[in-house]
Amino acid sequence: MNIFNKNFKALKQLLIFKPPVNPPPFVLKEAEKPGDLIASDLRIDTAVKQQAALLRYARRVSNTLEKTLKIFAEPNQEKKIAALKLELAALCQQEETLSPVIEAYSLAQDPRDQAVSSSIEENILALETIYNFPDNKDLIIRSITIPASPPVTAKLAFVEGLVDRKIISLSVLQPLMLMGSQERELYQQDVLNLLITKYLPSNRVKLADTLRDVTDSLNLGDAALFLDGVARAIIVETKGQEHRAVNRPMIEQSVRGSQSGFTETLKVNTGLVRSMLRTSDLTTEILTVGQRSNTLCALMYLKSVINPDLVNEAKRRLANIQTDVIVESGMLQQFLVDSPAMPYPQALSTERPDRVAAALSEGRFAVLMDGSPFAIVAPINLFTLFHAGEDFSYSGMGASLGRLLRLFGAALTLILPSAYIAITYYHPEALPTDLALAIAGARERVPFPAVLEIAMMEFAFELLREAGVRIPGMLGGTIGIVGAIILGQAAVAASIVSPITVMIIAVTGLASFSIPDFSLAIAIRLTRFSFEVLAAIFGLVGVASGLLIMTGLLCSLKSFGVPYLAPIAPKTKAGFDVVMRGQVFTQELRPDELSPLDKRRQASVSRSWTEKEPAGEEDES
Amino acid sequence: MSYQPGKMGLAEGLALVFIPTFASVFLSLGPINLDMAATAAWMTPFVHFVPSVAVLYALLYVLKNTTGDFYAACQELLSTTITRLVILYYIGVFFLDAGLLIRQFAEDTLLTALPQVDFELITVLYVFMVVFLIYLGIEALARTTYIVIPFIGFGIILVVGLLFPQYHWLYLAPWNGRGLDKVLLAGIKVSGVDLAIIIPVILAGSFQNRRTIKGAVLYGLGLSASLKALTIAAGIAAFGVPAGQETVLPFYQMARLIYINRFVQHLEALSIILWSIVGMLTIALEIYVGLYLLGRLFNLPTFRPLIIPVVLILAELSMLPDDLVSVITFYAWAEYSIYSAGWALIPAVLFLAASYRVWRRRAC
Repeated sequence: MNIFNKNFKALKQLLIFKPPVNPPPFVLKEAEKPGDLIASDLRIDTAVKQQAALLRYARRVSNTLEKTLKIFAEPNQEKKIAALKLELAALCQQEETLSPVIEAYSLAQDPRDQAVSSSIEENILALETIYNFPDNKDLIIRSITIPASPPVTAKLAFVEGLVDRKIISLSVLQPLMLMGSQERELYQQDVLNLLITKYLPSNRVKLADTLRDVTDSLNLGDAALFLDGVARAIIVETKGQEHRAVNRPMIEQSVRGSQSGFTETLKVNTGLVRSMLRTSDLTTEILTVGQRSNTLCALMYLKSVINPDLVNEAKRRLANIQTDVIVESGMLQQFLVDSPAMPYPQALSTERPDRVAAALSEGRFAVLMDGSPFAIVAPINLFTLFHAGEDFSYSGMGASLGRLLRLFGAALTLILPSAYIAITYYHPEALPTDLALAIAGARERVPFPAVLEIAMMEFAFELLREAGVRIPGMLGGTIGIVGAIILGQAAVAASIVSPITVMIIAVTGLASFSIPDFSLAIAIRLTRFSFEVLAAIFGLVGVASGLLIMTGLLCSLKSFGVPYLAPIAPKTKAGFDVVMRGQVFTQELRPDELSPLDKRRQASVSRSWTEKEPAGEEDES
Repeated sequence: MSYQPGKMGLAEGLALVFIPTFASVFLSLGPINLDMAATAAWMTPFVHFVPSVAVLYALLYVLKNTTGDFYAACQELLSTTITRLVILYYIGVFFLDAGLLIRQFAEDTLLTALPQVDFELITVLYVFMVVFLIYLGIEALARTTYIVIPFIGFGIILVVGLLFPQYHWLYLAPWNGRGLDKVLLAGIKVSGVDLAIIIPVILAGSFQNRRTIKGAVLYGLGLSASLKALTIAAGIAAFGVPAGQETVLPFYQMARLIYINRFVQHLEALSIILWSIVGMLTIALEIYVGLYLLGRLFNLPTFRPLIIPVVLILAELSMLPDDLVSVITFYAWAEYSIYSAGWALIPAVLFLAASYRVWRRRAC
């Protein structure tokens, strides 16, 4: 029987399939929110926290009592008794905060809203909770003892990666730990002021009363110093995250004019602007956006020039952005502008400090964001987007020619394909007979209607453009050109499209690159596609309708309350810097639509040397 | 600042007057003018410009001696009941004109630009555009019109200029005409086309001040009259009176007649763009004014919900006449009769009432 059983089991093991024992696959379920905890769990959690806090306090009292016994047993008690008094005072303060009602309240609330405790232990525990320690390894807490009589126990907290280690060592740790005398009597006086004024040689030192102030500073790259028995923290500026050096602008390159572009570091960027506007009038207000990212923003303006309502509005909008994270200035721009659904940019995005400086001097404001090498300049009008950074570096006629070319390019890219579709479909009589015959001949072998030809070529061109942007380095441009040539030739050879269509799309694409602002180019591309659809259905009447819709929409747009088509609609005193550009010395007034406080930017005779006697002798020839 | 946010200025007012007074150039009223005034038909815009200016000054006098806009002035001077009747009349006139224009522009588009497209589809396009433009509001509508005006002017001058080789100057000779008295009569008779001078007065609350309204009407009407006279004169010089009387769409035919060389010829495509833009703007503006008055009449907080139903109803009504000829005939008759009452009669009554009021005040 036994043998039978053994054989049966062996046979069964051999024949019957046993699935491998794998761990269950991961399935993402709905996360349990803190609010989902049942009330009893929450009560237990709070009670545990309260008990732990009381235990820590009891341990501290016990340590202090031991210390007291030691002090009374030693000679030279006066100085030590003074320090002991302070420690006892701190204990009393901690006891107050540990009263059951206060504790229950403070433990239930966000730990960041707690006041800085006089107990280092409590502060560090709160910080560890806030920073999700020990899972999060970025928070560094360094215990130090400041040599004094009696020695001061302190903890230095900072976030790795955001601070400069050299500054931490040289400006905080070294002066506190090494350079001091053993005879310092810190507890005899106002310890915080003494440390700030005598022993911390950092540029900027401030005090923090709540843990929110502390964490905000830590997140910016500062270090927080907690002292035992002191219910405030010292915040020392130790910012020093790695950043890119100031380099040439990548997108807005210029032949003449400044060759420096913004970087990802806010302070470097504000410094670049300030280096071009060295005036005390230039105001830089620092604000924070993003409730989780706490990204720093700088609002820059010339106080004596800009309309104060504009500054207030910009601040109001920046202060009322309710979102988690803002990582790039383009994202911030969408939160700020009047009509974000419209593809036409309502603020200028520039990486050139000289453009920002010029805009500020006109009475506009700029918003720079930490982590973004682009500044947002507002209010603007449509024509600003056709200006280039170096326009004022050339003579008026040269700059005007450039601007006219850009406008012509924009008009061409907007209308050319739709006009081709409309004329081919509905109005061939608009073409000279020879040209109409040439087009008809070229299209003879093509089996598709003109609109499909244009659509295919547009799609191919957009693919090439996108691929050119996404492929890294030099390869992108090369692939774009090679792809365009090969695709175009192959499409014509295969009689899928006519040569005239290839030419129209090529000219349209080339013209679109003359638009200086990338966001505007995208908007014009989108408009062009809708024009093509209208042209296919309604011919030139459709194109006219499209133009009317576009003009109407642009007329109703506003950039921070300033009409988008000013100074043309509404008509304002334009100066000579809209499409055509006058001489630099004739630009006497600032843009009227911005309603600046100081309307005049230079004297009516700015080249006053022309009215003065020349140096040297008079030319007698 | 040289403009007042939320208020329209001279440029916007000019546009509001120019577009509706100029739109008739692209329609079929020219041949009717030719019939009445022959070679001197080009003078008629200037003839009715003069009494239009008098009407403007009368209305400005009314505004000066009352408070508020046209509606408020009517209420102050003519009592609420009569004001309601007057406003109802103006609503009717503006809606009637808009309806007639929808039909004419849609038919003309079908005839000349899009013969293969369904008439309903063209009407839908006009309806959509008009609704869209009205939704943008009067400020955006006026500014769009203002931006378009230079292109219209340039287009007209281009067509007139390129037509130069086709001109027969003798066609304009006065001895081929009907006489100055006939010209004056014809000019006065068609003065209803200048009804739009009342638009800035109706929308007075949206303008900066009375001086802006005065400048807007004078410049807008002056520009419109000059360009109209130029176009009519060019048409007469190109076609002559007998042939001109036979042309249904004179401006289209003029653009079609252009021949400089084989590369510059047949520019009717340009005229299509011009007239469709002018048509859409004019219809939108007239319906906007009608809706605005409707809102004032019934004290509505906003007339936006009425835009789509009103435009649809007007488009449907405009399709009632059997053919285009009956529409053109009725349009011409309406301009001579119905519109003239709104252009001259009501402003005259208001002027008399305001003068009487001033006289009484002085007497007291």
